[in-house]
Amino acid sequence: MQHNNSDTTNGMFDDYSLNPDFLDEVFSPDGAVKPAYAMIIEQLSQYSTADLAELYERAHQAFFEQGITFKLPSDKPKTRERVFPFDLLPRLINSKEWEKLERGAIQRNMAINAFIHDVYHQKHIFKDKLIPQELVTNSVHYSPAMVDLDPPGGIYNHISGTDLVKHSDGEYYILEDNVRTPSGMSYVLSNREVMKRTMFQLFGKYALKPVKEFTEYFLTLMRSVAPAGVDEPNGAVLTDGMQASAYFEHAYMAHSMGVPLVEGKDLYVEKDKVYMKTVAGPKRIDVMYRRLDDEFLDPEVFNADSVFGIPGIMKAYRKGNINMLNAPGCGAADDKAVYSYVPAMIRYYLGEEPILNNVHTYLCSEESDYKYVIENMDKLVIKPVDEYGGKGILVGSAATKAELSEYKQKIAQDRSKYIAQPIMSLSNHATYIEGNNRFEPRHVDLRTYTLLGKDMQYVLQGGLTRVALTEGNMIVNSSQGGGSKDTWVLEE
Amino acid sequence: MLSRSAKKIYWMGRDLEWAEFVALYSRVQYENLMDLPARQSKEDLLESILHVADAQENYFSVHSQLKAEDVLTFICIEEANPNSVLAYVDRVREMARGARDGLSLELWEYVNRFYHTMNSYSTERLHREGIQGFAGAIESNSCRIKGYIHNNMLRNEAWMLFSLGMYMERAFLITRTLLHQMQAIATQESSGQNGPDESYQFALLLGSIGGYEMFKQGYQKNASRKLALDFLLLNTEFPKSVVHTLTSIHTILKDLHAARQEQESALQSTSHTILSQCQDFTPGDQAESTVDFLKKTLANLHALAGQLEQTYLKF
Repeated sequence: MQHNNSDTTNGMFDDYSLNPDFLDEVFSPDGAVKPAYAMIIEQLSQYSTADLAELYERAHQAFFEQGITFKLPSDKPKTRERVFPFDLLPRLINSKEWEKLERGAIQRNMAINAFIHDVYHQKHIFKDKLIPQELVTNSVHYSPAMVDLDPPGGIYNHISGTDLVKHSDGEYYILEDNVRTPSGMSYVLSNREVMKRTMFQLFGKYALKPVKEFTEYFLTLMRSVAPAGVDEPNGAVLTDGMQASAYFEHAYMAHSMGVPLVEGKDLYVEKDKVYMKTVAGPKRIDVMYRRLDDEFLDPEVFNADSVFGIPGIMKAYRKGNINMLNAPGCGAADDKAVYSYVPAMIRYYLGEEPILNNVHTYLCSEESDYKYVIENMDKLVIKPVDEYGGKGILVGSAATKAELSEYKQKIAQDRSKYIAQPIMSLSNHATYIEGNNRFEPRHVDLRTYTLLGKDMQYVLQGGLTRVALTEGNMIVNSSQGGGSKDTWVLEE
Repeated sequence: MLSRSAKKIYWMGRDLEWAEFVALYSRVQYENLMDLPARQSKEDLLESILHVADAQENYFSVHSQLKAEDVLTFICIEEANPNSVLAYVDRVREMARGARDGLSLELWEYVNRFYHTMNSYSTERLHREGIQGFAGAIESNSCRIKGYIHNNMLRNEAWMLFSLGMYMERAFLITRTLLHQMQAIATQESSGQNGPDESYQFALLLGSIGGYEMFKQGYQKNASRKLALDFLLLNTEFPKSVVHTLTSIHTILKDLHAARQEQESALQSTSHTILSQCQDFTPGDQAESTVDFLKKTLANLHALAGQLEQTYLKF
């Protein structure tokens, strides 16, 4: 079904294809621009193709200058760095929808926090047979080193990334929880900065919530969970170094909060206290936002070969002399199989009904689910439980017979490693396709960021909208060629 | 401040100073080449550019002859030259990237923009625009970065380390450049040859360091060996003179040390000794004595830089 709306635009929305199987966030089924987007489309209609190309170049340059760039492993040393694709047409979320998302994200992550505490302490949820214990304790992310360890402030998942999609029924559904080291929030903040440098005329036409406060809340959070008795805590961000793909984000967070960006080699543990090597001599660290995976954190406890870690830090942590964000062992809760139990966790720990929807999940470890998955692979998305970044995902409807057959064998070899979900109809959003010089519908998702501190909860007032740039593709991850959009949460 | 970040900021200051100094020196020398008096040697001038940029050996491993265009490309952007100005710009950016938490977002963007601007130069563009375009972009970006730091940064450890790096490199570069010039003169003196016009050479040297007009304002005389040495070594008002640079280093070291709340360090004592030795020096009529002094100063500077790294930048 084709809608020609060139009367209302500058021709850049000509032949915009509305697919009735998917909800389009910008256009109504009859092809009319949705009211919230009217002023944006009107603004865009004033630009010629050349104008738009110039704006995109300016945005590109802004990312370039901020250093939000990457290189492919195959790039030669002098190859110009690449910029993650970014679309200038922002995604809008109205205040009512957002209020529900916000409450739902906080509710969900508070339940997950209670779950992690329970898993490493009394294990009530296993005893009450709500979740099979082996599902959690057999997870590669379950950490025996966390058993009976009480982190200062009682919080484990200080920052969580919750991935959602907007289905064809207009409702948001949660696809997965990221509670180990969720990434991408610096892109939310940078995207907004780039929009301010390029589409500044639009900001006067909309009342939207700011995103800049996020790092201030993060700093408040860090201070709130300092070890007992430390009134003026010293914070730091721990990175695995400049070679890390997310180094920009590590540096951004440290810089925005005014705390040092440390590497393992900058730190040492003495008498169960953690110190930085500074120009003025040793300086104690009390709270550390770590962007280093559990396995590399402490060679005395986890991977003995880790060169990035700090020997003895887990002992200091257990003694309550340092706090780490997020707590090691959080991954036991963001396993994709555990995901299916989060609504039950909400009811169990909080005594509330879940505010946000889960996607029905088939656990291949269960006999009946496994049978269904094998018989209906072409209608399902199949995921390994412990991977992230879109790795290892099979979209049944897009797979060849050979791929389906190969995947069936993989599942059969280790059923507990896989789950399956119905193929969700990710909403479409108009996105400028530079090669075609026009806007076309592309699938988008949303990652929200929730902060939990001692007596504080906060959700970043926007989130990361990721967009799959290939027509019809539903995998939005940047590692798979996806781009992003600024997400505007509108005030009343 | 983390010692690791401090080290990166210190080297960011050093490398930025190096890139600016070499770009300016090469530009002025190259411009001079265009209407060089017949009595001056074109080869000497090109060699002095390679010497200041510490690129002689590498250049002759790639080229057999001294050609102005080849020297220009080699000094500015040649990938085979690890000491090219562009390689130093790359290092400035890498140092800044590794110390992002100690720099403001604006400063990082200045550095990053600098890096991308300079990396857009190809050999073709360099030859089309001449060194004026390339060196001009280096000089203006370097001034912008230093200006931002001067106007906006807290006078904290990060600022002190950047400034220390900048002054340390400046002291090295001025001393080395003077040494190169004086060694050439001493060789001529010892062989009893008549050298090229000294006044012209020292005026050119002053211009290549960005000090010619300041020299004129300060002395209201034409350049001579004695006055140029006095200006570049001992002048307390010219910010690129060795004495001024060493005074700045000594002052910053005192402030940096104050944060440690300890007695005067060995490092401060060394910087004080070197400064005093410089202040006590009087350029003589014989080039040889100045050469000896400059060699000694260079060795002292190496010792001071090594001590500084041991004291503050080890991690």
